[in-house]
Amino acid sequence: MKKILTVLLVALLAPAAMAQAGKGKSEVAFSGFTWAPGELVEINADKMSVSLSERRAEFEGKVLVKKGKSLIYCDRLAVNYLESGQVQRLNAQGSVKLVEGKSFATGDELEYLKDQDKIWLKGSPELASEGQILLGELMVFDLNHNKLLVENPRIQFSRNSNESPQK
Amino acid sequence: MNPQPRDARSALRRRKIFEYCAMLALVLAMAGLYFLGRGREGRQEQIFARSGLELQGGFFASRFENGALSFSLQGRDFNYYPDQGRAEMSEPSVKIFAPEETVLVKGKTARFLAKTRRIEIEDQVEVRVRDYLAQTPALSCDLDQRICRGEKQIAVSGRGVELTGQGYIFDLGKGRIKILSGVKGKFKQEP
Repeated sequence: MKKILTVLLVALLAPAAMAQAGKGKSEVAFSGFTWAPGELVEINADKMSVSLSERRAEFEGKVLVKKGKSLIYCDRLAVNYLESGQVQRLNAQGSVKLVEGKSFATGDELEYLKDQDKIWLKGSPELASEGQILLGELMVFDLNHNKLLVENPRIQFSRNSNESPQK
Repeated sequence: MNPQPRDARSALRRRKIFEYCAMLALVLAMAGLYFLGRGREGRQEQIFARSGLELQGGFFASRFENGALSFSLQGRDFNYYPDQGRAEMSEPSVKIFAPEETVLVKGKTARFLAKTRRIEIEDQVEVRVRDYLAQTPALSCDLDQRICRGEKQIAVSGRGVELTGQGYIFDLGKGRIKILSGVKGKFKQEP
């Protein structure tokens, strides 16, 4: 039976989150991914294809997404956007790495839906922060409610918590 | 036997001559109409294919396919060089009518290559489709396939969207752009 762990970041990644927040208030990892009004999402890639009628852009090859404090690295990225340019959905595939400050998460696929303000990380996802590594089968970052949901969670602790685990 | 009076014979001869002349005129008129019709059919092609043509102060051309306007081309000056099979235009403006999109392509100069049926537009080229504007230094369009290509920089901008890169394939019929290298995209979020 699958175990599901819902983590308020105070419990698991509190040190990192506290450090990032800097205000004594814990925040879910990658809270910087939440949209700020008028913010730019910048994407670099080797090549791309955009359907003007469907408002869907597909980037390929060494894709890097810069969004606020967060970075996403991946092999392929699909972006669905509104007529205004507002991004509605991001789907990153292939060697996905989401980085924010000293925290980073990896997986095979990442999906972000703006209307739900959630990030789904699939395909052996791992979240590393301040010497702690959280593994699972699926991670859902609920940015709106400041929660992290992990299916089949496993936690690894580094001997030296000052060392950031490298992947 | 009474010989016919001389006047009657003469009148009969005149009548026969008139009939022969009328028939000949009819045959010549039919032949004339036939060749005139053929001449009109091939007139545009002949002018374009065999003789030089120079138009100044504005020109307009259009092409229909299956009863529908396929594309229109207008500009300031037009020169056709038959020995080289190409035409040169200044300030070209091409409107391409695809099933789902109407695309306007503008530039400063253009060459039409009769052999490949491609139009090459250069210098401050702009492509407008929907709310998007694509800008590039040069572009080569296959008007039959409605596909444009270029090896140079391209910048595509729309409301809240900017895309740049080098080398592109623009499928005008499908409204799809492929940028082939060095892609940078920006999406501005709603305030």
